[in-house]
Amino acid sequence: MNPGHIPPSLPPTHYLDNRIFTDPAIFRAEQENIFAKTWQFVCHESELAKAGDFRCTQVAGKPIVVVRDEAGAVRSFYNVCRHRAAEVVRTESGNARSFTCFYHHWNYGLDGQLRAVAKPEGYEAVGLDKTKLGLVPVRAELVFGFVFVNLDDQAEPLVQFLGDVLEPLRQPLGDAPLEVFHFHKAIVKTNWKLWQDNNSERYHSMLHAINRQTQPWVLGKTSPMRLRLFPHGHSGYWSDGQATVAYERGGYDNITGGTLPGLQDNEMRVVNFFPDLMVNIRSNVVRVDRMIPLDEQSVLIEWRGIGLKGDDEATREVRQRHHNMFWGPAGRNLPEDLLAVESQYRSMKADAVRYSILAREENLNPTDDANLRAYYQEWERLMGRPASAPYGSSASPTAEVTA
Amino acid sequence: MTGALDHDIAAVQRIVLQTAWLLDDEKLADWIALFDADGAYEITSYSPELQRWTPWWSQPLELLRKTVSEVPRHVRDPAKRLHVLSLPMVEVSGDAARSETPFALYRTLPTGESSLYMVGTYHDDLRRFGDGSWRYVRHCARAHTRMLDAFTHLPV
Repeated sequence: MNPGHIPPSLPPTHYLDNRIFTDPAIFRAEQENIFAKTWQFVCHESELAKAGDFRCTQVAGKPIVVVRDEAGAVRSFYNVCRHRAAEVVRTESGNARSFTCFYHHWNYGLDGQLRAVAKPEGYEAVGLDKTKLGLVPVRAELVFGFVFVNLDDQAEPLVQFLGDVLEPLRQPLGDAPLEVFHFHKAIVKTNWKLWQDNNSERYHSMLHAINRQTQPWVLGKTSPMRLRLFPHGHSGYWSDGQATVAYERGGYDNITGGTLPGLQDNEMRVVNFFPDLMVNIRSNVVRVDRMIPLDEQSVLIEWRGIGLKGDDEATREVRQRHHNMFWGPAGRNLPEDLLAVESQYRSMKADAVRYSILAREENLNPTDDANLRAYYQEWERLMGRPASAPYGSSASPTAEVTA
Repeated sequence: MTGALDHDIAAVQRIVLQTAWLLDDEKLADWIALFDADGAYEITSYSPELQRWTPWWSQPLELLRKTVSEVPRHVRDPAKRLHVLSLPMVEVSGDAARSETPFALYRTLPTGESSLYMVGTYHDDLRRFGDGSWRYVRHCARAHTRMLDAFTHLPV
């Protein structure tokens, strides 16, 4: 037997079977049990500034359009024509007075109501009821300008689902109008959970040359940052109001200014929402990672940079410089993170070493793995199987994984 | 006069081509030397999601020099790169020149697989110095490609 297939001598909460990252059946079950049941961030309200502004996306593999209607409300629908299921909206973003399906010209209002069909006389014999054939609505709710949707009509309200993990964001995201100033995306060749893990655990901060310089706590034993755990698998890490990044140690002294409300200069706060969203704040700029898992081995990641609306040119430039220095496609940290999670996936797919270890216990210092363990406890609850032994007593992934 | 203009155009074209060669060979200090002291480097990409151009990298020379000097400290994409450039279209006016150059950037992995990494156009402003040499006041790569196979510590 391959010794790499022997579970580590640790509590089952402290390791994962890597096949939860590589098994297509588990991926399909996640789409049904997690992504179709939990609140999913889709965009920031600044992307829907005017009536008729829309954004297209996917949730749990289903096409979604989010739009601001004439009354100013944000609505969400399946982006599927009720006639023959063509996509009604075919561009990623834009502004529309109504939505007309390109195929047979059925026309929908911004409220989703079917307003007109082409050649209506053809339906007179069957009495087509347009009032029952609007775009199928999807629940949409906002918090701090972040637009979330949920495919599950029975799910608890958004704010209740997120709970107290919102508190560290209340001032920086809630006290002043914000807008998205940067957007980029990539298809990353890894399992989506590995990106969430990377965003959640600080142990890997030593991967980053710039973090080794500017975050002395990365290599030290103590930190002003504390790991914070919340129900539903949400977590974060932040200090109690202390600056936590020593940019001057790296000679990066031109990225301060325009600090967001409630933060110190050079303060960092990171919140990881279950299952797939990260909000990372470095004093004057917010990074938001949103994932659209495509299959078990690839994920479309959208990165947004957010700052205060109405910046003067100089302040916006500082925010952009700070954002791009770490988190742009040509940033200092993001390329390294992508190399790491793609490397992990290649190895996991080969199944040479079957288990990942999440066993660090450090009294909630940021390099503690407690948040990963809490995350996978929630994953287990929704998936109905342990992440350390997803096939039960069977060693084989051929055991059926049901949605 | 025409001969002098042709000479200037050819000189600017050589600078643009040399820029790509230096990046392919990762001779970053030599690449930096092509910039004026007031020069700046940019990569920008149009975001249809936000419906505006978005900077991916925008630094004046002083910051650019620091960033590029720290490239060796990073864990980096191991692929080797190769630029293929069209002939730069150059306009010269006195000691100033403007150039546009379509480019394709290929990436070859250590395993030997090659792929197209980025296409775009360089939009450059250059200035002539007292010694007759041309240097970048602004060297901007406008990327048509919006999704990269790997992110980059290197300029493109």
